Amino acid sequence: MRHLNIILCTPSVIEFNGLCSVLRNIREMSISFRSITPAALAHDFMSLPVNADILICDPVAVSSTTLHDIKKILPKIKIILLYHTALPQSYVKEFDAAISIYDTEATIVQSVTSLFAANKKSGTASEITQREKEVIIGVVKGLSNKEIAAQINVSVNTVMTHRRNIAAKLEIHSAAGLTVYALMSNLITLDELSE
Amino acid sequence: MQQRFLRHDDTIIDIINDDYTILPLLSRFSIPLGVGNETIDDICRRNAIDVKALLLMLNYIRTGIIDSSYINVVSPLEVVKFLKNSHDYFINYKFAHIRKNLTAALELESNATNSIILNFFDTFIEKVKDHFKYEERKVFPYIEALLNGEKSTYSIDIFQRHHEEVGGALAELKNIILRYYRTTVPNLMYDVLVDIYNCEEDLASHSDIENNLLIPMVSDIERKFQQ
Repeated sequence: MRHLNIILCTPSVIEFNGLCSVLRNIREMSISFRSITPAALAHDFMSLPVNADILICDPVAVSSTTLHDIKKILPKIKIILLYHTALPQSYVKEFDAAISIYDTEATIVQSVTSLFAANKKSGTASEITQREKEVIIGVVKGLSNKEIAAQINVSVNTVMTHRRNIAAKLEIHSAAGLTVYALMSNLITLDELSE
Repeated sequence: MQQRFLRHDDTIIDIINDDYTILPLLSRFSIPLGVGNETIDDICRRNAIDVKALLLMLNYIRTGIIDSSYINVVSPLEVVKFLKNSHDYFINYKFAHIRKNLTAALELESNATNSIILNFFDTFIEKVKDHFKYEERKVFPYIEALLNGEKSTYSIDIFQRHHEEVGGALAELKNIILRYYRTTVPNLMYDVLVDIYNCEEDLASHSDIENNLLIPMVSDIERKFQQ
């Protein structure tokens, strides 16, 4: 599960708790929230935690200069504007995204998650194909990708694609896990394994 | 329902009634049972526990919110103390408990895969032990030395980059049992699964505390020393 560190910079306790409450409903993500006062941010933007992923701030909190300075020390951070009234486009454009306090929950969640285009796995996990079963048996027997490729007559790249698909379908990522799976679903017997 | 933010004048018994999943955490904060009608403040004073550290960690685990007025005043050593207790809890109690129940559940029906499942679990335990050992031999002593003003070639940044999830293998085992394990006597295995779910969640909040409380706390101190 992806983890996000969100820093909220607003002088309003209602905004802080409201945003925490809305963003905690984001699925498939665990989130830590921390507040920083606009005064602290203006005084020393270095006080931002180094592992911050997102900074959401009220327009009273940051000037364009501070914004640039923050981006300089934390190049990966995404900064979202939280606004109440109309603001000049040139100012809004400096941010990675903007949330209005009148936005719906869905819109707010969308604004945040779109910044982290998580490679969503398709909900419908289909059955393992015959080819994939052959790859699993190879992995379980301790063969390398190259050896598996030679055995079933495909390229190493294809084997790697198969392995990715297998991991996604079964939600099993380790060879040890695949071994247990292969034995349980009778893809291989204990005797064959110890050969 | 979203969890409430706890305060120092909340009574322990109310908090437990409100959300009993907090119970396994109490011992790791060195809070003994027999809580009477005491408030968090009372019990912390009586057992010499740093109340701010306790509230910072409990509230973070419950709500995901890091209290910024506390994180700047609580010593990272308090967090380290909790993490050490947690290591001890997992290694000496929780894993052994799950393993015992898992063995009992597997023994109800003889199956060729039983030993493999147990093996898988044991490999997981060994991996977690190594992970904990590294923290106890390298990371925690580094933090202690840093607070004593000693210089070191290590930095918390190294830990941050190498810190990996340990719960993954446990999730995998749970997943395999859930989807593919077949038995005619499943009750004991259900209990094991519930335990694994709990343990997985517990390990996740353990590493959340390391990643999102301890690391920022220590890197903040490193930064102040550099200036």
